[in-house]
Amino acid sequence: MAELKLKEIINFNDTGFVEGKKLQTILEDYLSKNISAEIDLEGVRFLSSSFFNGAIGELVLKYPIDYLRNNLHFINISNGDKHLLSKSISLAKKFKENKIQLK
Amino acid sequence: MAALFFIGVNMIENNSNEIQIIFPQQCGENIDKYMTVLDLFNKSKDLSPITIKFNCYNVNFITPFGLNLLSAMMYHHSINSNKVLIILPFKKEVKKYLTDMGFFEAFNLSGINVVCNQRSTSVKLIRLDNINMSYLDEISSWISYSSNINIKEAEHLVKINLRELIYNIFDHSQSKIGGYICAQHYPRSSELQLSIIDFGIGFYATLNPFYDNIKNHVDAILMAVEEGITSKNGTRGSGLPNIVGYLYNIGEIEIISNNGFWKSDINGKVETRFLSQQLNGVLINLKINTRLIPNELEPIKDVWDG
Repeated sequence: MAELKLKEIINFNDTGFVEGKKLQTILEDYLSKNISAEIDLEGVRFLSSSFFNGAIGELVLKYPIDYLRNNLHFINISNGDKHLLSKSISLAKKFKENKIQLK
Repeated sequence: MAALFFIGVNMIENNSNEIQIIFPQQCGENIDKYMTVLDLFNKSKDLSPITIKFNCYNVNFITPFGLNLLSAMMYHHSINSNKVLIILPFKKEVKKYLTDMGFFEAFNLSGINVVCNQRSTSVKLIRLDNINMSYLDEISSWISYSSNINIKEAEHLVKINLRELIYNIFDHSQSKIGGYICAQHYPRSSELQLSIIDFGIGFYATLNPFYDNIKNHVDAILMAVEEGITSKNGTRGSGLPNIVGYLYNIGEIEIISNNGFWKSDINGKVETRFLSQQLNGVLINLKINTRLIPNELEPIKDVWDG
């Protein structure tokens, strides 16, 4: 399993969509090789919903939810960040199920 | 930036290159009270060089909303190389409030001795030209202290609300003034007011190229608060819907974008209308009942069930 420290990946002065995409690119690389990843959020604050949309949204479109559930593990994640992550997953699922059209 | 000066009321002169904008007595959060202000600002905003005089002499009450509007207009004219003057409020309590809110400090007004006493019920007015994490830290601590909620919930409130609104300014608005933020806590009514303004392109210009059904500024706001509506590619468009969801049952949100007005009250009841004057940009006001802010968010067992 790959162990990733988010604070070493992103610029935490700008915890928006672009920073989320940085994480997504790394996760995509591992998932495509069937390697699980553990993402440690310790020391990173003020992550936005845009960050989670960037990090997770496309992965939800591309992979089955159960595959992501079994292969991506977030640790040291606050309850608030869990709420935002959950909302991003929910939004991406709606895009995936065509309940919302991708632009 | 052009110089800014304060002047006494007896120094008012009529001059053809001069425009005077008189602020109302009650500079509260009712946008309808600012229609004359907006009209004059809209007529003057592209003129240069002019002298622009903000007459606040009769202001006897001002909230974060009014202070943001005044500050954004003054800054807009100052970066347009205009001579910006302000007639200070007669009422000393209002002058003191402006001082303590960091207004004079922010504009480096000449001729005023500034003694700023930070109030426990407010955070200083600030103009942001990028995402400022130390400001988010500061305002989280202030909300936690002033509203007596734990720091984690204060940070969550800031993250869901202010963080997203600030992000929108720099990701979408193209605002030349950046954005102004102002916040005030009213302990007697347990009300937290947060106001944020930009002078950018507004929701209509941002979304209309991508959504045929947006015909006007009210339509644009109605779309912007829907999940998945975005001007960018990808699974985006959750910032404003998350804010509206967060505030349900704990507060209200008001959005003004050009002449579009949208408000969702504490029960989620929505009001929309058109204003008689445009605000060229976006102004968002949040009013939160601090007694209703949850002290603990419900834990989520499995985020993938989202």
